[in-house]
Amino acid sequence: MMSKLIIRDLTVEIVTPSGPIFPVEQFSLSVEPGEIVGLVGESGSGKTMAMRAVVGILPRSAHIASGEILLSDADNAFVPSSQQSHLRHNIAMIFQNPTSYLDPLMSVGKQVAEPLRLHQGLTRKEARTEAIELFRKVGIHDAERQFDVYPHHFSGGMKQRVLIAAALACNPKVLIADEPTTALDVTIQKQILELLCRLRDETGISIIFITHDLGVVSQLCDTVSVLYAARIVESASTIELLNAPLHPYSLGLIRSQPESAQRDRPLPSIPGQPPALNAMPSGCRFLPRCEFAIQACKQPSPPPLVQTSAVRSNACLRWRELQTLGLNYD
Amino acid sequence: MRAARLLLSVGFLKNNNLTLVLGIFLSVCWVVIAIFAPWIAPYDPIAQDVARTLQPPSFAHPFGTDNFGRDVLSRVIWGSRVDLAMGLGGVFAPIIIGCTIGLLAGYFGGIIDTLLMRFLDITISFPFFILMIAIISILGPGLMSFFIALALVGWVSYARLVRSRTLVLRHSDFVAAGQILGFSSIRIMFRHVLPNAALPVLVFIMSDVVLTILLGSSLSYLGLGVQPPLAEWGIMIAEGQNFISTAWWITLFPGLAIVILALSFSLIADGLAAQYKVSE
Amino acid sequence: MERFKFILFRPLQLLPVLFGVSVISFVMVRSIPGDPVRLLLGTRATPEVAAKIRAQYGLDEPLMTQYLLFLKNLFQGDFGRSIVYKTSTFNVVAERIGPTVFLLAYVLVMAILITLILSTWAARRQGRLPDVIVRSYSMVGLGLPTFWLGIILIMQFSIALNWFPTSGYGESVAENLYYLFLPAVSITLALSPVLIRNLRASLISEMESDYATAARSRGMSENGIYFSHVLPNSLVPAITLLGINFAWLIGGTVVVEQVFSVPGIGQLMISSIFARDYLVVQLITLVVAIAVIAVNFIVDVLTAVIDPRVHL
Repeated sequence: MMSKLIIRDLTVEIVTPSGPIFPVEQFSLSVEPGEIVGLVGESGSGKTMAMRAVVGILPRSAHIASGEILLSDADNAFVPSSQQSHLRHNIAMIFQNPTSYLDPLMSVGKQVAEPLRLHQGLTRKEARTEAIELFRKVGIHDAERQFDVYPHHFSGGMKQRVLIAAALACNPKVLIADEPTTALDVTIQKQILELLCRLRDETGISIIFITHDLGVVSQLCDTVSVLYAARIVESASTIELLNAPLHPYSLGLIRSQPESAQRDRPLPSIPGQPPALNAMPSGCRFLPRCEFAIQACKQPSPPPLVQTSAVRSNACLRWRELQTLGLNYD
Repeated sequence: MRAARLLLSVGFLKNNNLTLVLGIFLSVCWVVIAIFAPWIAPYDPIAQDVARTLQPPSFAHPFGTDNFGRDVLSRVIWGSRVDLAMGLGGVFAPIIIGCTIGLLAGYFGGIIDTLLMRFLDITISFPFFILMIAIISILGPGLMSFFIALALVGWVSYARLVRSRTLVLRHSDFVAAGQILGFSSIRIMFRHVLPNAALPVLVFIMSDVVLTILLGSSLSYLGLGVQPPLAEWGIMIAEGQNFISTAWWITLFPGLAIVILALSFSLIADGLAAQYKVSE
Repeated sequence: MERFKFILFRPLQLLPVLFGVSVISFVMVRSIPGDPVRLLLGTRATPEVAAKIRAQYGLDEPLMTQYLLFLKNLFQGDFGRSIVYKTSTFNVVAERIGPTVFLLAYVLVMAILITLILSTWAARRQGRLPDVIVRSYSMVGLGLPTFWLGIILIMQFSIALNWFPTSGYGESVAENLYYLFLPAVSITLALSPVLIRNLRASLISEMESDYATAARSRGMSENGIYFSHVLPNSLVPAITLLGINFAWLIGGTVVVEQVFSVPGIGQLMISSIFARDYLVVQLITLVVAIAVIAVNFIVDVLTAVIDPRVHL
C-alpha cells in the first residue's frame, strides 16, 4: 500500500526562440511513506514546475530533459518514470487556486466520480456512492445533496476539499499539494491543513507540500527542501532547518518571516531580486544577494548539493563555517 | 503537402509578423493598382468590341473578354477602384458615429448609456443585410445609398466595442488623474480614452473592411449597389453568370479579385491582433 | 427547475425590441417618396377607392395615430396587400417561406458539423499540418463571396459534372435536400471560417485550462478530457457566435437564393424591391427580425442549459 518516491537529478527544459532555459535543475528529493515534505522557495524558483514534471502535466512548451522519477510499488520494487501512467495513477496533485481547477460546467460530484469510474471501472451508481464517501472523508457536510451542486456555489475552502476528494479518488500513494491554502482565508487554511494531516494519519499517504510560508512548514512538515533559482539549496528535517539553517538563503527566508521579527525593528528582507531564468549568474546563484559570499563562490558552475549528514544536504560552500556561527550570526 | 510544410517552416501562419507584413504588402499592391489603373490596364474597361466577344484567356487578353468584347483584365483592374473605395469609404461613417456613441455611452453611463444600449439592441436584432437592402430600396440603388445605409446600420459594432473598452478605461488611474487635473470630459475622452481603445478598434476596422467589400459586391451583384456599365467585381460576376457554360473566365477572375482583396485585409487584422495580443 | 424561470420572463424583455422593430418597419414604408396610397393600390385606383383606403389606414390622421393604427392592423394580422400578387402580403410571404427555412436549417446542420470536425482536427494537432490547412482555409474563407462561390459550384458540379441541378427547390424532402445541396454548401463554406476560427481558439485555450490540467493529473486520457471538459466549455462561446451570425446567415440566404433561383423569401424580397412592392418588403423585414429575436432567445436558453452559472 505504502510507497516511497524518489526523484533523482530532474531537469526541466523550456525551448525558447533565444535558447533553452531550465526552470528546474538537478532536482532530487526522496519521500518516505507517510511523510510530509515541504518544498519552499520564492515564486518562480521552480517548485511548481518540478512537481508538474513529476505528475506529468508540464505546459506544452516544457519537457523533462533528464533525471528519473521512481515510485516503489506494492512489492517495494521501483517502477521507472518511463511508465508515465503508473506515476499519474499513483501521484495526485491539488492546486493553489481551487476555482480555476474545477470545471465550472460539471457538478462537483461528477468531477470526483470521473476518476473513480476511470481507474476503478465503477458504474455510474457505484462511483456516486464512492464519491459521496470521499466527500465525507474530506469533511463536506451533507455530502449526498452536495454531489449535484456546481462549483460556483461552493466557497474556496469547499472547492479545495472537492479537489482533494478528486485527487483521493485516484487512490494515490503520494499527494502533491501546490500552495493549497494560499488563496483561502486564514481560518479555512487551518482546516485544510488539519484535513491533510488527518488524511496522512489515516491512510499513510505521503504528501509533498509546496509553500512559501515557513510557518505552515513548521506546523505540518517532517522534512523540508529549499529551492532557489531552479535548484535545491538545502534539504533537512524541519526542526533542524528552522533552528540551524546552513545556507544563507534559508537563513534569509527564516529571518524575513513576520513571526521571527523583533517588535521594534523593521522586518528584515533579503536585498535584491532572484535572477531571471534566462540570465543566471555563473557560480552560486544566490551570490549577488549573499552577505557571506567569498571569491570561491564565483566558480563557473553552481555549487552542487552535498550530503552534510545522513539526513541533510546543502549547496553552500561555506556551510561548515555557518554551522559554527549558529542561527543569530549577527 | 510539401508546399504547406514549406509555408510552415517559413513561418507563414506561425509567425504573426509575416502575416501582418504579407497583408500590408497585398493591400498596398491593391491601392497601387487602383490608383494607377489607367496606366496599368491594357484596354479601356468599357470600350466594347463586337469583333472580340467572349474570347477565352489569351496572350492579348490574359483574362479573356466578356460578351461585349470588353477586356476582363482591364475591368478587374478598374474594378479595384470601386471595390476598394466601397470597402475603405464604407467603414468611414460607421467608425465616426460608432466611436462617438460608444464613448459617450461608456464614459457617462447612466440614462444615456441605457438609452443607447436599448437602441443598439434593436438595431442588432435587425438582420444587417436585410436592413441594408430595405434602406437601399427606399433610397434607390447606387454607391451613395450604400454609404448612407452603412452609416445608418454599420456603427453598431463600433459602438459596442468602444463602449466596453471605455467602461474599463473609465475607472483607470489616468482618467482619474485627468479629472483631478481638471481636464474637460471631451478632452479626456478623445485624448486619453479613445487612443487606448484604438488598437481593438483598428483590428475591427480591418475585418470590417472585409465584410464591407463582401457586402458591397453582393449588393452590386443583386443590382442594388453600383450600377453598370461601371466596372465593379460584383456586377461583372452577375453579368458573367449568363455565360457560365461557355465563358467561365468572366466570372472566375473578378471573384478571385474579391477573395484576394478580402484576404489582404484579413491578414492585416490577424497580424495586428496577434502582434498586440488583441482578442477579437 | 429554478434556473429556467427566465424562459417565462425573457420574452417580456424582448418587447421593447419588438416595439423598435415595428417603429422601423413603419418609418420605412412612410419614408418612401410618393403617395403611399398609390403604392398600396397601384396607379389605376379610382379616387373613391383611394379615399377609402386613406381612411382605413388613417393616412389623414397625425403620425402618432397612424402608427397606432399600423400596430392595430399588425395585431389583427392585416399586413396590407401586395400590388404585384394582388393578394394579402401575408399569403405571399407564407407561400415562399418554406424553402428559406429549409435552406437555413440545412446550412446550420452542415456548418455545425463541419465546424466541430475541422476545429477539433486543428486544435488537437495544434501547429501541425492539419492545423495549418484548417487555419489557411479559415483565413481565405473569411473573404469568400457566397454568390461567386455559388456560381463556381454550379459551373463545376452542375454544368461540368452534371451532378446537381442549377436551380430550383424540388417537391419532396429528398428532392429538397438534393436541390438545395449546392446552395447550402456555398453558404456553409462562407459561414464556417468565422465559426472554425473561434471554436479552434477556444478549444486550444480550454485544453490548456487549469481544470483540464487537473483532470490530466488524475490520469484522464486526452480524449476523455476533450469530450467531458474541453468541448462543453468551448461550446458556450461557439453557440453565442452562431447566434450572432444568424443575422448574417439570413443575408447569405437572400443572395444565394438569387444565384440558385430558390423560390424563398430572399428572392421574393429582391423581386419585390424592383417591383416597388413595399408592403411585401416590409413584412419580410418584420418576419426576419422576429426570427432573429427568436434565435437569440434559443441561444440564451441553450447557453443556460449548458452553463449553470448563467441566469437571465
